[in-house]
Amino acid sequence: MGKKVFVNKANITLEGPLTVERAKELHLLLVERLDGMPEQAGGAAIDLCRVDDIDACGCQLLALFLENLKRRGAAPMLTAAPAAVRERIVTLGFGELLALQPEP
Amino acid sequence: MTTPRGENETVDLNRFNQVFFEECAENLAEMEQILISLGDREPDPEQMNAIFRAAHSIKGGAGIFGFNDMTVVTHVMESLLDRLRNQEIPFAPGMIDLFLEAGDAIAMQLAGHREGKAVDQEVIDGVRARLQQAIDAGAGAPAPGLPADQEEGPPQQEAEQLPRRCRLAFTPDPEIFTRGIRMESIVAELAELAEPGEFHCNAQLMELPELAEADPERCLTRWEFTLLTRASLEQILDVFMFVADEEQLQIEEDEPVDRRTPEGEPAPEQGIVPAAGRRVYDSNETAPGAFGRRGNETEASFRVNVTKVDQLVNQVGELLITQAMLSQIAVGLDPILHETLQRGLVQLERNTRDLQGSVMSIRLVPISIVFNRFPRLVRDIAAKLGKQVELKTAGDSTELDRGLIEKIADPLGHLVRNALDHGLETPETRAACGKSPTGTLQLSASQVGGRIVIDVIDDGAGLNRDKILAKALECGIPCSEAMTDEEVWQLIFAPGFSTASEVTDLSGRGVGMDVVMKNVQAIGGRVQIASEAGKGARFTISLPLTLAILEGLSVAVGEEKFIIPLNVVIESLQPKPEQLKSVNGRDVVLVRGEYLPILKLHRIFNLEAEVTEPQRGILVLTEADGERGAILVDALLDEQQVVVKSIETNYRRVDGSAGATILGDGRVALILDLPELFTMHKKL
Repeated sequence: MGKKVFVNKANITLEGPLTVERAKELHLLLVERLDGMPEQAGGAAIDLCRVDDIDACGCQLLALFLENLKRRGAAPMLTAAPAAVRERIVTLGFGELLALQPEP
Repeated sequence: MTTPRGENETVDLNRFNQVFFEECAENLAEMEQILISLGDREPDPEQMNAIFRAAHSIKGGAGIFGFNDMTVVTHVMESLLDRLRNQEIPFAPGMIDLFLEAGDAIAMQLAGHREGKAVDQEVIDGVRARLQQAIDAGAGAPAPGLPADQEEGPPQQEAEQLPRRCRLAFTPDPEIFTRGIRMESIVAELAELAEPGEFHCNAQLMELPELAEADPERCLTRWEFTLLTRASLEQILDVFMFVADEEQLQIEEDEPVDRRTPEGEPAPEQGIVPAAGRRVYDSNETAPGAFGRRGNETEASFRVNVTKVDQLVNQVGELLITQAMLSQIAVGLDPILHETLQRGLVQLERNTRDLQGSVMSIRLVPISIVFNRFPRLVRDIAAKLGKQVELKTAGDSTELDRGLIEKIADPLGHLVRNALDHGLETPETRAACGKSPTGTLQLSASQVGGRIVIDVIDDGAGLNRDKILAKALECGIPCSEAMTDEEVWQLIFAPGFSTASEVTDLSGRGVGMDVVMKNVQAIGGRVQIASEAGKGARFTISLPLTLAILEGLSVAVGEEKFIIPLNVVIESLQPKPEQLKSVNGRDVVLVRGEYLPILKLHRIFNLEAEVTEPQRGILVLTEADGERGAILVDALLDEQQVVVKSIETNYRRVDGSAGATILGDGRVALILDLPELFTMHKKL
């Protein structure tokens, strides 16, 4: 099977629950997105506006994704996280790892 | 969108849920035991703490495993208990019943998750509302036991427990995510223990693998928590009860922050406390702290899946068969030429027997597991019937096979209900008879020879012979005035028999005693009754020690082999013609002045036998349940340990057999059930 090509290489939108039940599927998706990222990608926005739930496994996966992006020279940023998702990320102690900006 | 988990993952999750279910059931049982022991007394601080801990553990576990419905009742219950132990609200006698009801509600929810049983939400809501009412009602009342000038101040305990800063480092098991554990619940529970605004949680990645190479379900995160708390170390450890062991959790505590401490004193040293946590999900089940062990239990016991034990028992059974086979072969060998081999086989036999003994002892559990259910039952039923009953138990530590424990609980429960309903009198009646108004019900267990004997004894009115005979006649059950007392008592085991003039929801439904007998017989047990009018009754259940392996005598009848349990064999003999008689057309043998009926296995099992006449065969004299008989066989083969296999599971029920076994030569042999054979013989 050929490699997927993503039209919008800088912005990544995730949706649905980011939980352990979907960990494998999300992992595949994020690996594909990572492979599709150009070298020295610059800014990469990860849009969480369509995410409705997240758990520790999901937070860890996001954190790993972000670290891998950084290794490729990107400056990733999580954006538009719904309040409940943001609160859960903070509760679980991933606020710093996910570089969650204070709410405006 | 969700991705369904693989079968293995589901199985894993179920396995870990199962551990929570067991812990939850144990906590409920512990709570109930304390509550029942109290009567209407107020629990002392230690008991209060124990009840609180049980409720708290259930709530914590339920939250972590995602059984959120179970946290509802436990949360309010915990709040009430917390206020009680802090003497914020006064204790009221009705609270014991309320806590018992709450325990029942939680047990119902547990059964809902565990066995898919229906949960009556109205009951849950009702209990929750009553617990909340108790909190609200108590909030306005003055705190008990406190001097008037202290009533407005902080609770004594709180004043003594000054807040201190704790730092926790939690490195979870890599499998924590796939085990259905919710980290957010753990964090939330821990945050609850902190002073307002004094909780901080920070997650760190311990490894940073290439994303493509990472296992997304494997936990690579380590958490650090900092909190200012008044909670005890035990309370903090309780949060991690289901998830952490001592290597995975480190706690560092500062000295309490006490502003009253004079300045200038040396700063207290910080201490790192190794967490004596419990590790439920450990791959190494023998590790200290594994599988939910509590404090002093750390080295004493650990949980093992029953299937694993059964597998071990089966394997030992197979080993016994192999050993028997080798011994059989060795019989034909020259003892001088094969001396070393023979010695080795003797050693093998000894080792096999030792191994069997050790393995069987794993299956043995104390009967207190069943006895502990009865204080609550007796309390509830006695209250319902307006009777005063004291329950006594003896021999609680008597051990019997786990499989038997599960099967004896219901029949025993029925006997207890029956004794309360029909046996023990009301306080007025007892007083009129010159008895103490409080009746006594005693449950006792002991090991007698190769059997376990359980007695249910009451000091009530005893069985009423005339009433039983009249009822039996009315029900069309064959009986006569000439019957002995023992025979009359046995009538109550007839299907549909009940002398209760009123049908109650306890035991007078006309069903039960026959079911009791059937259930007890199904596990190789017997029920005997002794009764004295006005003094009371004794129901004695006798059970085999284990169902898995028995000592047997193998005998041949034609082409078939049978096993006679060794504990019923008295002797075997070749009868002389003058010993053989015929009484009422039935063959009997005269042994030391006693005529014993001859049971011809070939006739009972419809077989072609080499020997059909007693004088040409061998008679095995047996005694079971006080009845004696001589079994006619072609030949005695061997004395051996046999592994009992259920014939019903593998084939179908065969009357007169208590199971089957596989012999050393691979053939199947029936294990004889002597009491049933005696009954079958009488009907021939």
